[in-house]
Amino acid sequence: MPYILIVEDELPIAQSIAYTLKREGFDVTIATDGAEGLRLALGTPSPSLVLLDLMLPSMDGLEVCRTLRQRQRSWIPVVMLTAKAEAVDRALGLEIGADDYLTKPFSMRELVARVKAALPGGGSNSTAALTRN
Amino acid sequence: MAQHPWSLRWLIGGIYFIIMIVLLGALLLFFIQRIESDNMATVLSRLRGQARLGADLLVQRIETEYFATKTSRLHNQRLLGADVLAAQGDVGQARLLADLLDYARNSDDAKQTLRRVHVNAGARRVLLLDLDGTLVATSTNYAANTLPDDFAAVSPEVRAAIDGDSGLGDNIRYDEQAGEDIAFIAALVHVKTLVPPTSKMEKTRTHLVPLGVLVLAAPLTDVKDKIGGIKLAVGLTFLGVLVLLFFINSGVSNYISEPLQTLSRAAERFATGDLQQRIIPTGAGEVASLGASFNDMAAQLRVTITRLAEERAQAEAILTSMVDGVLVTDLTGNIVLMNTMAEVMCNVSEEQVLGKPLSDAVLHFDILDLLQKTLDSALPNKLEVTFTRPTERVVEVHVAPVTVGEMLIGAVIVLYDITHQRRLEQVRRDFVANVSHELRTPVTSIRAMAETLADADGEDPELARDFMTTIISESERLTALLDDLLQLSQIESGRRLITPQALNIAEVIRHVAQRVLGPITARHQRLVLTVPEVLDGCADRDALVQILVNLIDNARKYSPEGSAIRVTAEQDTALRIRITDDGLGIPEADLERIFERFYRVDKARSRAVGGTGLGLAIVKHLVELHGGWISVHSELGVGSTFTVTLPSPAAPPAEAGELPAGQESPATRPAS
Repeated sequence: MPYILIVEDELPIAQSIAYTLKREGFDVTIATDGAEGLRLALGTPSPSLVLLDLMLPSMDGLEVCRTLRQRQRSWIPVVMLTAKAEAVDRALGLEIGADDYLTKPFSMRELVARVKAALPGGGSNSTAALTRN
Repeated sequence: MAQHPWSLRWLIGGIYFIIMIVLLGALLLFFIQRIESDNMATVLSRLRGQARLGADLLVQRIETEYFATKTSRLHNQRLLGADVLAAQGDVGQARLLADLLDYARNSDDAKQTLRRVHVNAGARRVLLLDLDGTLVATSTNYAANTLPDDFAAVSPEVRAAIDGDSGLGDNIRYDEQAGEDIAFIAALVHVKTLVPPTSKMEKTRTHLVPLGVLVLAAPLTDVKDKIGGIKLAVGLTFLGVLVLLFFINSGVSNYISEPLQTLSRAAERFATGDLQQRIIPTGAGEVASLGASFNDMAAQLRVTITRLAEERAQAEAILTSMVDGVLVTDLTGNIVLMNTMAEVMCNVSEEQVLGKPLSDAVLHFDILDLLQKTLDSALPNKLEVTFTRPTERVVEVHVAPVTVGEMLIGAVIVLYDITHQRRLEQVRRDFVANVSHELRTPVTSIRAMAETLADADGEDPELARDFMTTIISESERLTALLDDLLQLSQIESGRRLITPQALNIAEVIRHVAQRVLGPITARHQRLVLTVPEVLDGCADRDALVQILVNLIDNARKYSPEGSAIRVTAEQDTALRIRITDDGLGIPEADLERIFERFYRVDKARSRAVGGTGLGLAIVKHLVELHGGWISVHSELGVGSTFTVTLPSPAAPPAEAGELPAGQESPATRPAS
């Protein structure tokens, strides 16, 4: 069962995502700051995917992502979540190794679809998720 | 300034004087010459006459006396001497002549006659010589042997008298015996003989036979003295005239040169910049009008120079006080002018780089290229560059050609410091980004929860309740944020007006304390007021309430449960309200930034306590609208004190106090 790490300091958002993803059949863990997120991402079990907020206390999302990539965990897909909508942020996020990018506020269905798409070999699942909804 | 060695005064006076001396000298010499020669001629002529007369008289006397004594002896014939001589024949004639000379030598008559001549002519001596030059008789007891043997031979006058046609000779020479110049006049003494006619057609002719020579030696001392006297008189007159001339001359030249010298000195003073002085126009017409012209010129120069100096000072003042850097270069790109701001921006002083290439002042290749481009094309250019030294500045560089008429003479470089502008733009961009972020977060929460609830479809009632509560609180957070944003926007755009009025500040504080009591007691905190019963102040009530609410709320949020929040107010030179908490404190690095919009020392904490990130920014604006200021003192782990200082009611801010009393603050009060 895929295990998804949510790194998001806004608890209402994190809880909503967690609830939805659980309903979709994922294992979910929430980290509320960057440092904790990084620790969990590098720990065991390794997450199948990281949902990473950009603006986080103690260590921001970009830093977490960059560190993650440097620690040879490049295979873990990272989907960034951010309230910053500017193109430059999106480009930066993708450049340092994020696999996808979601701008707040986002549709929960879109989030689920993107998570599934980003998961290794999960292309058909995402289509299934979209059609199911 | 060096005086010219030949001053006009000496040129005019000297030349004039020398000419006068030469002319007068020549005239004088001529006159003296004339007087001398005229006098000499007169004297000689008189002496010649005397000598001639003397010679004739002598012959007459000798003949008369000789024949008077001889008549009886000679056949009692009453014959004239001439006849006698004629009758004697050549031999007899020679004997007779010798007789006559002999007679003259011995007779007193001859001597008397000579003496008469001597007296008449004022001579030193009168001699009678025979034709050989031998002394026959003298007017004085002149010793015959004192005469040189060759007297007749060496005496030009004797030779002239004997050989010449006129029978007269003269010579002037220095006589050693007498020690003076002597005029020697010689006159031939001849006896008249009758030559009987040889035919009927002829008459009896007179034939003159020379007997001897009468030499008259007259001293010239008198003449010389006379001439000397005349010379002296003329010389003195000459000197007198010279002296007179000298004075007239120097007077005239002074009259001409003195005003000129005055003008010259004045011109020198003009040259040194003293244009105050005035020349009193003196001297001849032209010189006086020259002086007047000088005065006019000085006055006009002064006006012009003053105007130029004023213009220059004005231009300099403008350049110096300009907030933009200004550099001016010539055609070759060398700096000819640099104002204070340019010095500051380029971190050089004008003296260091004046006359040097622009690169000495601004080592920025883009600017140097731009200058070259402008100098080549004579068209203005602009560019934005960043200076790194002495401080980082964003500078907009304008390079414009400087032309005089059609001719390009250089370029002016204006440096606009747009750092502040760029920083403001950055702040604004950051703010917009922040606002976007701050608004998106609650909206995201609400949307995510609402969607989740919709999907859950009533599966989990507890979760639903929980999410509903969060949705409501997130909506409230959104509302508070919108309120604060609106308020901030109104304050910053100047639409939020405050109306300070006399207030009992203590009453306002107590009112606020009542209002905020609920949330405080909810956290078991205490609010301690140290406020006098009445504290007169001057403030906009609504604004003051908001300031206090925001500050107390801030203190409440960042202090632990059960702690105390103290509010004190006092009035000395100004009204001071302090809000002190025993909270976390603020790190020193953050102290000066806590009044910035959306600045949070600890984001998680801020969100946890529900702050908008705008409260302190609003407080700062409102305090400053009252003409007051806010300061913060904090110690980590001990607590923070915010101090609001408002101007004393005695001096309410003038512009605010003039607002209509009834005007309400247009601000929408936040329900914080």
